[in-house]
This record gives sequence, C-alpha cells and structure tokens, in this order.
Amino acid sequence: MSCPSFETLSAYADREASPAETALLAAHAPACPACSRMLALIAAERRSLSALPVPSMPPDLTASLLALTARRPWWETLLSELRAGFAQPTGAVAAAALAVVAVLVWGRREPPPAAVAELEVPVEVLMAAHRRYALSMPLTPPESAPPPAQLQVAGLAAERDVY
Amino acid sequence: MSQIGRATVAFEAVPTSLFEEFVRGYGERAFQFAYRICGSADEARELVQAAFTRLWERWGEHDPARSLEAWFFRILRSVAVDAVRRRERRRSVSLDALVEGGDGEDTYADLVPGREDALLEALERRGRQEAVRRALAAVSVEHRAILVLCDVEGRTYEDIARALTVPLGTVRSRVSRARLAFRRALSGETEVTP
Repeated sequence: MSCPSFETLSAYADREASPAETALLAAHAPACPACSRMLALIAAERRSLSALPVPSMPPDLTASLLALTARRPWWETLLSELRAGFAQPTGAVAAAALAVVAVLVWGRREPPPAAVAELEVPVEVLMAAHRRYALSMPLTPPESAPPPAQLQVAGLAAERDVY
Repeated sequence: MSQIGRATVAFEAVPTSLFEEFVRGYGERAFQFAYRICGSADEARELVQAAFTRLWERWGEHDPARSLEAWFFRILRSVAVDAVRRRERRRSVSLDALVEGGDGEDTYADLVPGREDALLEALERRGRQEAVRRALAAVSVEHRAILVLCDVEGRTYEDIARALTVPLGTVRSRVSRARLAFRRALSGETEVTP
C-alpha cells in the first residue's frame, strides 16, 4: 500500500477515518517510517497546543454575564412602562406623552415609494370620471357587461395620463 | 401575532435559571476558547460577553431539539472570527498569504521535507511554548478555531460539524488543512529560533 494523503492520516490520528481506511492504516503505518513520523508529529502538535497556558476567566466576568438576565429588550421595557402608565395617574400622563411622540414620529415618516405615488389620482379627476361613468351606465346593466371595477380602473389610468 | 408580540412571548419564555446554569457550566470554556482564538484576555472577555449577550437575546430562537451548547459555540466562534478578522484587516497584513500558501490538495511528502524530525524534536523540547503560540497566531483565524476545537478541546468531527453547521467531510478536510498551515508556521518559527 502506498502512503495515504495527509487528510486521511490526519483523520486516522483523530480516530475519525472510515473503517476501511482505519484497517488499511493500522496495517501500514507501523511498518512505514514516514507515516509513523507524521502520526507522531500530529500527536506532538496536539500536545503542544493543549499545553499553551490560558488564564482563568475573571470572576467579575461571570457576575457580568449573570447580570444579563436582568436586562430586558427595548420592546419589553416599553410595554412594561405603558402597562405601568395606565395603572398610575402620573404614569398615564407619561404614557399619553409617549403616544403623542409616537404619532408625531409616525406622521413624519418618509413619503410612499414612487411606485405607490404614481397611482395617486387627483380628486377632481376621480369625481369627473365618476360622474361620466354614472351617467353612461344603464339602470340595469346586462349580465355580459365587464365588471365595473375594471372599467373604472382603465378609465382612471387614462384620466390620470391626460391630467 | 405581530413581530414584537412573537418576540415578547419568546423572551418571556426564557428560563433565567437555565441561562445562569449555562453561564456557570460553559463560561470558563468559552473564555478559554476565545482566548486561544484572539490571544488576549481583554479581547476574550469582550468576545465572551458579546456571545452570551447574543445567546440571551436570541434564546427564544433556539430549537430545543438541537444542542444548546453547539448553538452557543457557533455564536461564540462567529463573534470571535469576525472580531479577529476585523482586527487583522485593520493591520492590513495577510497572514494567510505569508504562511499558508494555496488551498490545494497537499500530501505530506511535499510538506517541509526533511523537517519532520527537527520539528518533532523542537516540539518535545522545553521552552517551545512561545514558538507554538506565535505559530498559532500566524495561521488564519478559521484555522485557529478548528485547531482549538479539534486538538485542544478534543471535539469529535461530528461535534465540530454540528457547531459549524458543515458536513463531516468538510470538517475532515478543514482539520487537515489547519494542521498543514500550523505546521508551516511552526516550521518557520523553528527555523528562526532553532
């Protein structure tokens, strides 16, 4: 058997090679100086990496991590304050103020995207189209007539383009 | 239910005692892992804090059918690798280019030929820790993470695959590539300081 790839040897050193690879290498490696040396080197590297000194975790870090449970996400804090606000008179004022701020912020949102804005039709055009459409309609439309909504949309698009 | 409503329900379901137990059970290991990746106690502290904060905030997203430990170490690894990458980018030095070469299929025949005995001897000698530490710092942060998981923590390939959400075959190939990169870096170190 020729020497395996480094990947196979590396997996074998980790006891992660397939059963077939393991059987072949178990027979080959002890008699092969190159493979034996490589396996010894992998083991030595592993030992040297494990032996690198590492400081212990600072005790105050544990305390700091445990303190995370006292933290609440912003929406939870907001909901708690709102709940408390409705329960107390002074809090109710604060909750109302918060609601006003929310409305103001909401009202100052960016205008709708261009695709939506293009569909806006002036009210005068809408009224004129409506009058014409209402006058042109028979009192009892035939059953084969197209749905009024389609007519209206097509008519409005034409009106908007002219306008 | 709205997005906020769902998140609130998930958050309220977090068992505080379970989180505290997890911190006590895995805090030390997380710190050691982070330290080995970044090489600094202060930075390791920040990384561990960031990883546990993310765990706490996203606890509700965890699938109970999967390992919480694997999920946490995936978060920690991701936090650590991102932080070290940012730091190394700031230094504008590509350590990979200096010590690792390409990602092609390597066989050990063309790896530091004739140097295995010298490397082995150097590793067995006392006082080689500084060279080992420098070699570990010289490989890419991805290689460092996999070396720590496999060689230091002794995780199985299956554990690593679960932690990194990659197939077993990918772990096998990444471990061998990380070892080759480390060996090249170590070979350079032992040449400089025989």
